[in-house]
Amino acid sequence: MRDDVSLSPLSEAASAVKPMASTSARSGTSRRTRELLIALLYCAPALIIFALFTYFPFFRAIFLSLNVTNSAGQPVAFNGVNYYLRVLNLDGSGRVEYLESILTSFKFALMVVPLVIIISIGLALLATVRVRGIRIFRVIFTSSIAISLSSAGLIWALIYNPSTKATTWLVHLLNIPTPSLLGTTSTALPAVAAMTIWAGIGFNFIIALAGIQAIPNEIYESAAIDGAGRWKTFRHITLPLLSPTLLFLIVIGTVGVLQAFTQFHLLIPDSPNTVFVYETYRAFWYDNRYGLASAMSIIIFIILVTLTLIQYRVLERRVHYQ
Amino acid sequence: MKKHNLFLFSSILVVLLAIVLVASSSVMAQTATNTPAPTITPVPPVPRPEGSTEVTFWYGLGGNLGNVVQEVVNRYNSSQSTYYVNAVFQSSYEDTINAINAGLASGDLPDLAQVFEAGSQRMIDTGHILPVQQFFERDGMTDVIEDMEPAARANYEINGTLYSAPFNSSTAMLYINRAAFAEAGLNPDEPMVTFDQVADFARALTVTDASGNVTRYGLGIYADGWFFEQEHAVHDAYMGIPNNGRAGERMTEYTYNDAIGVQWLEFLKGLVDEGVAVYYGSAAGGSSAAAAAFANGETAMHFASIASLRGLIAAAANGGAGGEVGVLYMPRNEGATGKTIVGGASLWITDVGSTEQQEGAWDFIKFALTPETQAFWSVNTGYYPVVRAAYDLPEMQAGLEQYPQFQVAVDQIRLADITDANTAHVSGIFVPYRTHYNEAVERYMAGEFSTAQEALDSAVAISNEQLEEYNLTVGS
Amino acid sequence: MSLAAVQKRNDVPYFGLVYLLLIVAAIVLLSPLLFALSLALQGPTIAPDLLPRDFLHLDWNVFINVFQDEPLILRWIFNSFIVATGVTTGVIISSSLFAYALAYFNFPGKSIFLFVALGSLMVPFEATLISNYLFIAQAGWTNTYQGLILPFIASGFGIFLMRQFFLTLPRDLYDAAMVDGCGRFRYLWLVLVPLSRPAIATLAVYTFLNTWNQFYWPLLVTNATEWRTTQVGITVFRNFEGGAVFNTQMAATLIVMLPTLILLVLGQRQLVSGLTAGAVKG
Repeated sequence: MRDDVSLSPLSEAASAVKPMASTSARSGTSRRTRELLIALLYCAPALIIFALFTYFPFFRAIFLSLNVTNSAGQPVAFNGVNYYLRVLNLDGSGRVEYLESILTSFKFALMVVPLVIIISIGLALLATVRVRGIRIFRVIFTSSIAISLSSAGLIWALIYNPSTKATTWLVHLLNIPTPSLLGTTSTALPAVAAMTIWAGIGFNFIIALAGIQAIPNEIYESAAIDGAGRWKTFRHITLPLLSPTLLFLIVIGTVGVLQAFTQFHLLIPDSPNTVFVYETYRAFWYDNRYGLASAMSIIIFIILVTLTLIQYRVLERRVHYQ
Repeated sequence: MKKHNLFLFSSILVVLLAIVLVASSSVMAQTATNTPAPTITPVPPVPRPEGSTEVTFWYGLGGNLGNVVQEVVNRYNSSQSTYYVNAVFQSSYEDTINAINAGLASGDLPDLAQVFEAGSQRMIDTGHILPVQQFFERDGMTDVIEDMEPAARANYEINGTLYSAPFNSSTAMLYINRAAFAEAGLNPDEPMVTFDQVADFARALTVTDASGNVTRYGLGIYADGWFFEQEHAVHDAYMGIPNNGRAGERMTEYTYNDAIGVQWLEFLKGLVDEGVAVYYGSAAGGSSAAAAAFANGETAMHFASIASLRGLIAAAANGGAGGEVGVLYMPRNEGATGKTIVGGASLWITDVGSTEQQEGAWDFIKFALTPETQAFWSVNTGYYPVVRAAYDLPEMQAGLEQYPQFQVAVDQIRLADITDANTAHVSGIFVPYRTHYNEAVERYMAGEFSTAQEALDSAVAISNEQLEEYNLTVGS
Repeated sequence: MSLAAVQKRNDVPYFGLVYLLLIVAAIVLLSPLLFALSLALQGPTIAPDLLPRDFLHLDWNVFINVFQDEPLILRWIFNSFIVATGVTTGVIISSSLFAYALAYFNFPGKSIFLFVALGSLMVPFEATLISNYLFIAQAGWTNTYQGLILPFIASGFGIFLMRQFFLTLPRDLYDAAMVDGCGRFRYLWLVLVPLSRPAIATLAVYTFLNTWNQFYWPLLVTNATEWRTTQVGITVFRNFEGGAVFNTQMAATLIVMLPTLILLVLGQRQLVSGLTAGAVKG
């Protein structure tokens, strides 16, 4: 390959590195080295950023998690795995508040993910009907993807605020002790979940709709010819063919919801029963315990990776590929 | 869009609107009126004169109070041209502390910072503080220290050294709806009240309608560590040992799960269980809900800072509560004549800037402590002056005439001599402890703890674990 | 289309039911936004009603008053815009370069590079957050644009998106160009990039949207109010000691939502195709 005809400085540099043409095996390795160097050049921007802001911090977090740190984030005393033991209540202290928050995170995911997917699929099915003006409805159903979690959080914080009287009827209906849904332990988490579901419909709707639209018409036509009713069609054709999409939504949805932060910060920042990610934030932002918070963040990482693997393993078997 | 799509679109819009209007008419059962609360227009800073030394000042008061801070800064900057104070708002007191912590690592610290009383130990531990005492002494101005409101001065005078200059000082009060008091035949003018008396008030003030629903609760409460600390001070009980962290040694153990702590929680919960008080949640969320409820007449008594006086009066006038807003002392046991602690914040000088900048910071503090500035500040905010000479000024006296409730607050912090127990405690984990307390109260109110002792014991255990760790990191 | 295929043309009750469901769903989904609008138009009050009492005297001025009450809103919008544009540009450039190398070059250790890019997707934001914050704080980059932009200008998602797209283009074109002596970079710049406009547009819309909507990171690295981004700025509206001012806050929230809503309407096709690329086939 002769690069020296081009104007590109990169290839000029490359050709400077190019060895003299020769038939020996050494030219093969040198060429490979040159290819590697060129590749490195192209990949350098992303690699540097990954190194600085993804990989280095990750390993530093592991390091910090093994130390007690001061208010400026510097390690002052080696602490071994004590923070991990403390968080997971393996040190016999009987303190389960962090474990409880992990449980709360899972409860939250269970409240949000199935519902948002079901609702989005329902809306997507509705949105495939060929009626006039369906495009407007599709845009409406998609719209929540453009609404940030903080905007949604502020709006819903006011919806739940007793002063606006928007949820007074619900407060009376459920007969809860405090005037605010967010102030009562039993209703706080579902209230945040409702807001998260609303905010998540946009994204899930787009994916579900695309998944439904990807099912070829012929399959439906032959099912109709065979006399299959709407429900049967849905159960035996639509659903199985939608399973790759469902898997995607479940995995992405769970991973995303388990990392939820913004809505907890805006709706229930002072709740004792909050999710693990928010406890991590408190540990490092308010308590300035960087070592403990780092341990918590590594635990989050392990949970997310494990969960994703499990979900993929368990659910992929049930996915029907065309 | 094609024509028939547009038609469809608009007809759908009309249908949506119609449904919404119909649905709304059944939902509307409002009693409150829509009247404007004062809007907040920000105050622009005055421009910086040529050749002046810039002094960075971080403050954490927002909204209207923040505007008055900027006003004071503007007045200072306009009064001289050697120094220029650049005031930077930090969103909240907590954010200011975190910004300072971050600044420790990067060296990006302000020359002057407004820090709340909870941040004192942290500020001292940064190692970058110049105690204002040395400036007062150097300039022969120790008489200003003597003229400071004793309670305000005591907060920031630790082990004999005045570390920071008190700037905005408040204290806790029990706000009452005077009209409701009159209606129920109760005396609103005797501020010294006991727990039993307040319980009786709450019972007398609770109003139920024909169907048994409560239309007005006697007392609205929320979880906030500040009032918990106030009750300890009033009863001369330490929040932690030794000596609330004030006598030369830093605090090593929280002891707030003591008798008065338990009594306070049981008092509050008891009233809620009786149905004469209502719990609104914790911290900022709970406090604004409780304030709104008081202003709307949904509760007749409300705990808040004296700094909220004007805001609550305006809100009550607009919110339909009607009548005057009065204040009483924090409730206490019979015979306890202790004083409450001073809240608010103080001004700290750091050593990171040049000598000129440090002098500039000190110069601003001198300005801020003049009686004129303190009178201006107090009259426009609701904090009381930290130098007693301010009370001699006519605008201050006019202010007191307009708001006699103010005097009750000032009286409350003068009820007793200064001791370590009735001054704000000093600890490295002051802010986290408040979270531990708030969470314990949340759980207690929700019934997760069956006794107040259990709730406080659990909170104290968490606090002490963290306090130990903090003390380890500062190498003590 | 699923239901469309089985629907009978003149089934009126069926269409009626569908329309009803569509309208109900739309109302339910839009009601929080309508609520926000209603609160914004009721003027400053601590006890707003669900719907404005007086439809003839709606306070449309609130949208102007917002800028008076908080002149920094314009600065926040500007900040968000700079940051989002910066990150988007950075992601497009770094991802295209990386993906180009992955898709077209032959070099030893290619799978390691792939793994590095994949790994970046596996490490969640939370795990690196604290160290990143400490790094930015210690570098003195709080309250700066670089602190807000730099950590995000490389994206594993971007790399895979671009790589997938590059792989769909005919390899022969590249080989021929190389034989003809075209430089690698020249090929990328003059041939590949113009051909990749759909993928780049998708990546741009997606990245811009996500960066505009970021909350956690800007919350940590900005404390001076003029450096806040829109998302964090509007939440700071509520910290007034004088009592909540609902109308300006809701007005500000609605204003801040506009750019992304407009972007959605304009870039919907790109966004949808990009998001669905990996999802549907599994």
